[in-house]
Amino acid sequence: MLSKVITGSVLTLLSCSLLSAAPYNAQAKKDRAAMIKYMEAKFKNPKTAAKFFPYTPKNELEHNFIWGFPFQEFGLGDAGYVKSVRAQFDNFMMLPPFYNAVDNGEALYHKKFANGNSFATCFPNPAITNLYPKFDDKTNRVVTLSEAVNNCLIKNSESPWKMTGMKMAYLESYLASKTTAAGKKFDIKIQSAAAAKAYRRGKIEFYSQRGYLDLSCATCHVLGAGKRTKADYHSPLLGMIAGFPVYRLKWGHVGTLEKRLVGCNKNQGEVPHKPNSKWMGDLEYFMAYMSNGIKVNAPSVRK
Amino acid sequence: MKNLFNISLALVVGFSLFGCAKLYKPSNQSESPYVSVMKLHVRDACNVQKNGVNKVLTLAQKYNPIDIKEGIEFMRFGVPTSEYIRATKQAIKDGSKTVQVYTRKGKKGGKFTVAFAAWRSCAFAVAALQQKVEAKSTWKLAMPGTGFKY
Repeated sequence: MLSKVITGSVLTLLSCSLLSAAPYNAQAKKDRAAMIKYMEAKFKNPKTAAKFFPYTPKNELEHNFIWGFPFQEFGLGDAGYVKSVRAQFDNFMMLPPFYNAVDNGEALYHKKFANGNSFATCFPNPAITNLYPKFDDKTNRVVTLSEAVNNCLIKNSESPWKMTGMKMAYLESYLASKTTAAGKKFDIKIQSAAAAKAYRRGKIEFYSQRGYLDLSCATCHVLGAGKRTKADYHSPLLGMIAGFPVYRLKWGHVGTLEKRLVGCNKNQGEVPHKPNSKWMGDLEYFMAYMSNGIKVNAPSVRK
Repeated sequence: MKNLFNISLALVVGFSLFGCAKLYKPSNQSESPYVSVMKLHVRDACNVQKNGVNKVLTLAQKYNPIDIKEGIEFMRFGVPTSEYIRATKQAIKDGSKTVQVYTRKGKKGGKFTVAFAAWRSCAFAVAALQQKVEAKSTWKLAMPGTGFKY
């Protein structure tokens, strides 16, 4: 009798675990599909745009917007849908201001550590930025590209770099340029229950209002995408991280995604989260998943 | 069969004890700050004229450590809430009428009256936690496919 009970229990447990092994990215897939549907509806044509842009002058909607643009152009940020910004962007890209950053990054990539290894040992194929952030089930946390670089340094007995610093930005510029040249698209995976939880945490933080200005990330980059703050148009969440690291005109140099997110935190009116925090990793994981299918286009230029 | 009965009995007793322990709440247990903060109205609770500087500052000191722990501390022009609290306490101790605050980088972040600095300390500390509690249900409203309709 007891053996029957035990066999029954084991079978029940097995079937439960099989059922819970349903795709961990099911919710994330739904979220992404809903986001694409919203963004495509928003930028479909000027006739339907009025409900999305109630305060934008009609003249501006008719003459300064690019409507029905290809999906991949979400990766250009606001240059994807604003004519005046696209013109400036194209001018910058004729002689990109980030070329020296890529060169410096290449030198750092090949520079030997004290033990004779180099970044080429950790990342034999430099075209990898489309795969980060990744969820590491061993450490139970998201590993961003900057963290992966620092992990490589630590593994080779070197001091880790500042995640918002120039060396990190240079190396990431090189890796991103190689990924761009290879034509790779974002391919972020959610392959465990813990990874799905990290994605959910990132999602909640993205949509939660924060800071004394009561703004969420979504206020500007989902509902506010295409709207202006003074003369600056907001970029969309979709494809947002495809251009990172970016050369920002405000900074006058290239900077990492972490540097930009710290800036966003400050703009919202709260003490910024640490670049290597779990919070930052979760948020980047969500943002990157939303950009799945969009080609890496980095380094890039932003205001 | 006897073993099965023993196992079942042990499980029933175990679950009952666990359930009772979860249900039991000591009567002298203080209210969670996440609950108490939602009962406050910032304009009334942080009103310096009505409540006095010390009471308002006490309120700020109660909630700001939780804000820091949650990673939601407010900051305006580089000056975090904790700096407003520190500088206000210092001004009261020194008997000064004005409060000099500093940014996180150590630069001067502005000069305020004690009453204003106490108000801001309290308003920022309370509002940050209220925002966090509210966000638990409101985040979905901004998300296409979940609560945001267009």
